[in-house]
Amino acid sequence: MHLNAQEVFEFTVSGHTFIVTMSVILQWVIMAVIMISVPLLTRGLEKIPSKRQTVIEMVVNLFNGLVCSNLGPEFKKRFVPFIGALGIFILMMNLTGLVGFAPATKDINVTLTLALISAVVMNATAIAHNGIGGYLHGYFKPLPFMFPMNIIEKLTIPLSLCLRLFINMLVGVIFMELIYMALGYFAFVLPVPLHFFFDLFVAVIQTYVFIMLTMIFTKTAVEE
Amino acid sequence: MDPTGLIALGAGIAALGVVGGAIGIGMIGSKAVESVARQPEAKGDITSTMIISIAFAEVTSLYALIASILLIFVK
Repeated sequence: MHLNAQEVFEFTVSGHTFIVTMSVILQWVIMAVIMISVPLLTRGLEKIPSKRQTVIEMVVNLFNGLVCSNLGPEFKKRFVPFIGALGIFILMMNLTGLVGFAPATKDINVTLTLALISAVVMNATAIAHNGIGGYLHGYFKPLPFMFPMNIIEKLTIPLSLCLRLFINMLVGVIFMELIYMALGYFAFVLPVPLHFFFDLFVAVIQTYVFIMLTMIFTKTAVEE
Repeated sequence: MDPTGLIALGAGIAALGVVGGAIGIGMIGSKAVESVARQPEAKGDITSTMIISIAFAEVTSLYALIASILLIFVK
C-alpha cells in the first residue's frame, strides 16, 4: 500500500519540472464534468419547471437556505456561488471512490489548497465588511495581550479544516485496502456496507462539515 | 536492533488518543437526543448544530490517528 501521491507524468517548462499526480488528473476530470454539465443542465429554463429544472432548483435552494441561515441574507449574493461551487466540487472529489479511484481528497495537497482558499475568503470578507482598521483591531480583542492567541487561532482554522477532510478520507482508503487485503479472493459481500459507510456517508458528511465550518468561521471573522 | 515491533507498539499507543474524541461524540449525541425528545420541532437546528459539534470533537481524535498513521507509514 502506498500513500504517497501517485505520479502519472511530468513535463518541463523552461527548466521547471511539473509533476502531474493522480489527484490532479481527477480534479481536471471533475472540473470538465462540471463545466460541461452546467450549461447542459441549465439550458431552457422556464416559468413552469420541468423535472430536470425542479431538481436543479432543489439544489440551488439548498445552498440558498444554508447561506441565509448561517451567514445572513446580506451575504446571499456573494456567497451562494462560492459555497455552492466548493460543496459540489468537494462532494464529487469525495465520491470518486465509487467509480474505482481513491478519492482525490486523500491527497493532503488538495485539501490544504481548499482550506487556504477558505481562509483567504474568510479574511477578505472580514476586511471588506469591517475595513482594514476594524480587521486589525479584531486581533487585539478582547484584550491587547491576547494578540498572539488570535494569530494562532487564525493559523489553526485552515490547518484543522485541511486535516479534518484529509484524514477522514485517508482513513477510509486505508480501511478499505486492509479489508480487501484480508479477504483476498473472497471479497464479494462484506465490503459493500463498508463502501456505503466510507465512500458515501463519510463523503457527504465531510462535505457538509467543510462548507458549514467555512460559513461559521466567516461569520465569526466578520463579527470580530 | 530492528525497531519494527517498537514502531507498531508506539502506533498502537498513539491511537489510544481516539478514546477522548469517542467519549465527546457520545456525550454530544446523547444530549442531542434529549433535546429532540424535549423539543421535537427544533430537530433540524439541533441536528446541524450536533454535526458541527461532532466535527470539532472528531478532529482531536483525528490528530491522534494521524500520529499513529505517520508512525506506521513514514520510515
